[in-house]
Amino acid sequence: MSYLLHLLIFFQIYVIVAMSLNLLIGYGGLLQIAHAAYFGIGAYAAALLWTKLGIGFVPGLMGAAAMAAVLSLLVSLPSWRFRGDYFVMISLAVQVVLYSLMYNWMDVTNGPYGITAIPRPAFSGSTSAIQWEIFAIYAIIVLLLACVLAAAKHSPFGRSLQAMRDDELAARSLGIPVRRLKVEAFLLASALVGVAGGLYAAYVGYIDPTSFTLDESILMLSMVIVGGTGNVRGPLIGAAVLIAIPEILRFLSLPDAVAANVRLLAYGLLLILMMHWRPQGLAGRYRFE
Amino acid sequence: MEAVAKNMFEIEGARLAGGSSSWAVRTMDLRLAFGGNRVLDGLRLTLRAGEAVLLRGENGSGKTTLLNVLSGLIRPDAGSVVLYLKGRDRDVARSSPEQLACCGLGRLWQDIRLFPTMTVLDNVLAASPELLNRTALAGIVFWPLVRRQERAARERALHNLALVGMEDRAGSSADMLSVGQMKRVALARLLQSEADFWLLDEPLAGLDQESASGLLKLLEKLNNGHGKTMLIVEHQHERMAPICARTCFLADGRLHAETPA
Repeated sequence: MSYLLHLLIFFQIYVIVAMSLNLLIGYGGLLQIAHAAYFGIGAYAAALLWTKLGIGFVPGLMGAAAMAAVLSLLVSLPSWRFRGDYFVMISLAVQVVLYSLMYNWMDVTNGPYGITAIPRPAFSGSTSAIQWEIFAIYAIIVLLLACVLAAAKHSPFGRSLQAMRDDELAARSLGIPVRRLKVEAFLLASALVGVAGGLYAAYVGYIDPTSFTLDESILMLSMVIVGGTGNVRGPLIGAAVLIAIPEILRFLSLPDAVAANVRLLAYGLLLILMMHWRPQGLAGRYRFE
Repeated sequence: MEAVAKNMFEIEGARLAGGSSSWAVRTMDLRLAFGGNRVLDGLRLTLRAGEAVLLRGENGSGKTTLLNVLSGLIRPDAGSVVLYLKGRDRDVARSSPEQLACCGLGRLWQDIRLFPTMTVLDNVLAASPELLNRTALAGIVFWPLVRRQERAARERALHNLALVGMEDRAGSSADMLSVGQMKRVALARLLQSEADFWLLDEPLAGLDQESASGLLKLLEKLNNGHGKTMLIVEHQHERMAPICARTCFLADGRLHAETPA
């Protein structure tokens, strides 16, 4: 049961990640590959607020959201001038820069040694009870954030975002303020993934930069592409599938050195199969290109 | 230099508008070249408010480029374009396409450009000026207020769809429509935007006789009844000319002749 709860808690965290990335990719058509960096910024911000300043769980999460949102301006402000491949390059550069910052800014992040003893949002003593409490707290947060995203998606903002994704020039000629839309979409998505980062830090209790690499960004992107973009079901399915794959492979009892490579092969194979047979994802509406 | 240009504008405007200031667009000595190819070469054009003008010319004569300049999508190399929209002058060179659209410039594209993954109703709603400036935060925090505005915009969108005979397809996906239906939805979108000055690029292209006749009647009604100013580029000029006040011929980047329709 403890193992299953552990997987469910990770599923909750990655559902927030996939939902926030879906806002950018699925609704806005903005290919973001620095999501793990913002996830990391959220994790570090929350961990530092909890461990250094000793503030409460919820204010720590809000701090994580604010920090990730502010740093998202690094991508969203130049996005006005850069489109397509150039925009992806900016996003990639931001991922590399933020990762380097986490790795080398020893005074703040403790570099490769990371931050330890991050407090958990639980009250009980036993491991099992703690997991149940965390699961319940995280479920409430996931529902709350899903409602926020649903409200945004069904508002004029969501419609304008989809119009921009379908045809930016036509959207501009109707007066849709695409520059402001992109900034808002990045602010919202980054704030949400910042919260997810805080939840991750609180659950695992220890963070270091290796959890926020480009590989992790690709994994997050894969969740959205495999699950399908442009609707609510896609991120749920994508997160479930991508979390399940390594766990299923675990039962094959492969040696550790081989298992890691097999997992990467499985991800790659899955993406190739999806691109060939179902480019809109398992539950997607919009075909991301 | 600016004073001279302004003076020339006034003379031109007075000539066309009978001394009143009821013009909608004035271009002055417009020049634009792509590489060494001069597309617009000293073009001067004035449209009165509420006037429908047909713009003719050979392929590559610069008709669509002129529409792109008027839309704020291309900056001219020289010359000026001033639109008189919502009671004030707009220098196109200093305005973005979004700003011009918000001030009352609308465009029907040659390739239609509906939003293909959205429904017909959402395509029309996307042009609602009252909803354009609603931020994500407003949509989340003040959703009851935004919902109320949205309901009003939805009623107007359905009315506009009914005007073009597309109300029964409101829930259909835009990519499931025929070319004629797409054109009608694009017109409903223009109506929803409440634009006063319409740029219509090949509105009859790809339409059968019946659809084209319906569209012509609708355009005539909008021009006469709603006072929309229209600059229309159309190769089927013999069909379009009757609803236009005059026809302009564009060649070598200039207006060569102007005739009453």
